[in-house]
Amino acid sequence: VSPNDDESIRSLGEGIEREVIHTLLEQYRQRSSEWFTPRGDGHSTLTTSYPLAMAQFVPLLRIRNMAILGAAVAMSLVRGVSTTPLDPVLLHFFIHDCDLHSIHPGLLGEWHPTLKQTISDWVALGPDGDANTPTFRNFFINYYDLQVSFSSMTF
Amino acid sequence: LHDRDQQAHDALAADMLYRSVIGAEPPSHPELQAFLKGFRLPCRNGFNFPKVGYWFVIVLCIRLTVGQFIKSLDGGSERFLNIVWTAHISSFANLEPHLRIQLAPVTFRNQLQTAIPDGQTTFESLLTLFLKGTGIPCPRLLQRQRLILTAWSI
Repeated sequence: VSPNDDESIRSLGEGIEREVIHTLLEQYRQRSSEWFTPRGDGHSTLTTSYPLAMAQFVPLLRIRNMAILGAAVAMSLVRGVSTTPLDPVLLHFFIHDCDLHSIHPGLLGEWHPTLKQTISDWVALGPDGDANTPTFRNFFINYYDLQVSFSSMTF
Repeated sequence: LHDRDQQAHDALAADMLYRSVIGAEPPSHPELQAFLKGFRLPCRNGFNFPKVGYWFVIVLCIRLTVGQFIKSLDGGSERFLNIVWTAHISSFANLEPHLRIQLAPVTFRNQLQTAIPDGQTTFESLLTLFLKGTGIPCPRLLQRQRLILTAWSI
């Protein structure tokens, strides 16, 4: 790190590197709601600020800062430092090239016991079971637009 | 959610998982793609981060502790993330059971007592106090240094 052009201060080493990555991630954490969306079991996912239909209008600055966040997370992990509040299952999904099948029940149960239970219950319910139970109602209220899921989603 | 057939029922299970862990948008969303681009840490020689999954577990084992985690090499990213998240220190309480502070030599202890003659301050108490603290220990000193360093923000 050499903050001045005349190179009057120069620091090198692992400690500086860790500190830089930490400080960078802290800046994102301080503006948490812009970058992280809380999900179940105390973990967060990434915040998308524009819907997919508006993909072409996402500002370049947002794209750039998202890429910096991605790099900072990767560098932190390489250093063996966790990147809370990001969900480890989300990172696992990214590491496995966005393959949803990589999230197996064991992994899900480790980080999201409640979610694992809900999904297991759903699978066990079967297509003929009654989905109108308090647990499923709460789930769909939290993660889906309930109006959409109960009226216009037709299966 | 009526009139589901088996296929729709299974598809919804997958979607429930996706929504609650990843979110409402697909991985093709430009903001997620941007994150992934950074996350892969592209290098000029085409070497990128997720492909070195097992390698960084080895690095972690060497860096942090002994061969205690060697078994974790079989565990891939599951085990890796588990270790990293478990190692996260959120307060002094996580650290305390592992602290072993050795006594400083008598000469140093005497010098400290002369410098801070309150009869309580030891190297151990100073270090513990520091580790228990949060934030910046000497804000004014840091502020002076900050003026020298280039400020930058996202």
